[in-house]
Amino acid sequence: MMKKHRNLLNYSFDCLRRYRMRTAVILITFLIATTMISAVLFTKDGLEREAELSVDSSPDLTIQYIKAGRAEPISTAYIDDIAKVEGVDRVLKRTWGYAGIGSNTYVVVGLDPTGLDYSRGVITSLESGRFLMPEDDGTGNVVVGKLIAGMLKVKVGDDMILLSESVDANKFHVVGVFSDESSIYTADMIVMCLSDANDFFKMPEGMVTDLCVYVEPDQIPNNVAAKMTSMPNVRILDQDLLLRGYRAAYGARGGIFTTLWTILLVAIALIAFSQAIVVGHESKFEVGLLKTFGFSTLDIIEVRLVESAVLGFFASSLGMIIGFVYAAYFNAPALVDILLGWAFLPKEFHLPVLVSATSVFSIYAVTVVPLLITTVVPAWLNAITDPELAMRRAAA
Amino acid sequence: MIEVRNLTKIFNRGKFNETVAVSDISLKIKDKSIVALTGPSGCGKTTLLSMMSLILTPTSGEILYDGDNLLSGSDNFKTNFRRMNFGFIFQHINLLPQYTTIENILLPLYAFDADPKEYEERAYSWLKKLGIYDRATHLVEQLSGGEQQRAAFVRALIREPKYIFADEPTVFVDEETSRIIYRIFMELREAGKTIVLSTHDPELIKVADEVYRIKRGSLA
Amino acid sequence: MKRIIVLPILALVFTASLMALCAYSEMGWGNRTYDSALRETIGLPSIAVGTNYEGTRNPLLEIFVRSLYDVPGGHDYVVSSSFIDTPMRLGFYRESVPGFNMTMRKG
Repeated sequence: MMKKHRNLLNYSFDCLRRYRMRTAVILITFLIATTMISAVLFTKDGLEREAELSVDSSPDLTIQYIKAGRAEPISTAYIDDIAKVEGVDRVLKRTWGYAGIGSNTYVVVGLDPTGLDYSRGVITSLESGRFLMPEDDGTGNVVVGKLIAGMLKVKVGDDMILLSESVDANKFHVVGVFSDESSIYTADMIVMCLSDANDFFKMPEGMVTDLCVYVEPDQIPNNVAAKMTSMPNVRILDQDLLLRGYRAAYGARGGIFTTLWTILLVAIALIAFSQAIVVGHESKFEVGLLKTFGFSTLDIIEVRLVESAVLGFFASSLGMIIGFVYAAYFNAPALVDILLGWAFLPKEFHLPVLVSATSVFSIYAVTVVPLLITTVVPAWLNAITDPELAMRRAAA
Repeated sequence: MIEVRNLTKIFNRGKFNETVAVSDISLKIKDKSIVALTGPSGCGKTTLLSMMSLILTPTSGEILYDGDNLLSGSDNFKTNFRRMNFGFIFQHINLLPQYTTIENILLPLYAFDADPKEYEERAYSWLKKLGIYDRATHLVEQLSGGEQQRAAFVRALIREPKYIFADEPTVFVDEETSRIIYRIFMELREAGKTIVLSTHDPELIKVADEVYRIKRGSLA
Repeated sequence: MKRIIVLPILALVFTASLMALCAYSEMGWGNRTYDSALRETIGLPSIAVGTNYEGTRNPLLEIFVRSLYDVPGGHDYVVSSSFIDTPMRLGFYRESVPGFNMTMRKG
């Protein structure tokens, strides 16, 4: 039987040559479509995975002060109450906010010096200089993202002046620059110690933006959070909640992706179907002839299946590889703004790209599968027709 | 032996354009013989031939090969039977235009568990016999009608099938080639093959052991 | 028959390469622990993909920001979930945040 399958394979490969116009149309269309959609999907997957990792490493619980349903600065007096809750390991203060600089907005994060104990690991993702230490509190020392360093041409040892909302000049000293490795988190970030951030944002005395709660290793954060619900005016965010929010934002349900997927699916089905019609008469005659010679229905399906699979996998796989290169090495020019809605993508910034198995198989599912269906089904229908009738209808 | 019992074929049954192509035909064809179906155009020769060669399902009736009614078999069974036993020469030749002569000839072999290349020598000897050896590697669309007919002839014989069905096999060929074809048919009969053909060619009819005349779908 | 043998071979090569790329990428992400210390120290930092968003000052878009619980980085994600229109067409997304009067220079 091996020789027969080899014959059928050879015949399938030859069909790619004989129907060269169909081959070319499908190859080009699939190539363009899969390149575009894979660039978007792989990037989206990368961002989602980054979000997951980010949330995974975030505080077990984030406590915000809520007034009139809105987040406002929280008093550090809450720390004592929270620390007393069973299962809480430690509570850190954090002040963060956005700083508009020129035409861009950056993230300023003020860290609690007591959290800077390196007990959780050594920060390696620095290009130069060092990370903040507890003794940096109040000194104006900052670690900046590579994007900011590049735009302002600052390096370790340089000073920089930030004007605050109240138009006060704040002088900061750069002690470290984050590396490319962490640019997804740090490209637009200015990290300083808590008291510097409080001064910069003119936070009222004893207030910070939120509190980060770490629970004891053997505790379940949700159970600990449940014990805090009686505290007035607080909103407790756990990691699941944050992740859900991020997923919703980046998820495929986010309108534009769904629309794109639908368009892609319809386009591919239409192209494959129109090609099936174009070669329909010729193919119908051919199937009739092959049946006459003793090719079984299964043989004919095998021929068409191999033919479509070769076409589909060639175009889709190549398209996805190009899509990956396009996104990972070229930052997907012309696509990112439209597809992801990013307002600004500095050239120093590299998109996080993840070639996830889910996306790869999803793309195969919307490209290869419709192609297989639109070529195999007509072939099967012809194959179960009397060969004489199939040939006669094709000639008509 | 091939036995046809009460074979009827009605196209578009129950519709306004219903056509009775073959009506209640019964006949017997002995092994190792040449049988000619003859009659005016549109009388049902090709339809009868197609039904006998199992590429068209009759509306009613039976077709027995060596006593077995093949119509009761599955589509797969009929396909296998065709592959193992039949060779076809079509009225419209039916070669695939994008293939060369030799590729068309070897095409039926792709359904077998065999390497088509093993049959190349046999194909070339037939091509030589029919005078188109030098056209073997030409695309069939570059061949004349007669040359295509001869290529189709070789394609039907490549597996040396037991039964050969030929629909107007000499319609496109010149007298010289026709004579070669008559001679080949006779040689095939001597070799134990059964040949069923439809034809208007009086010379070919002379070669036949038995002639069935068909008129308006029935035996005359 | 003149088979296009190069197409099936390339189809196999490309598909295998893609699978390898997929496995490599998944493994690469799985092993990415280099910045966990950074993330744990900072908390939940911004994911820096779009940084000139004025959603916090826009009553309608603020809803989206708030839907992400107003944590660091939230505003970046909101830009990405552009349900209304693409920022490319909307010039004001590119403007600085109103109400801020900040600048920065090398000291």
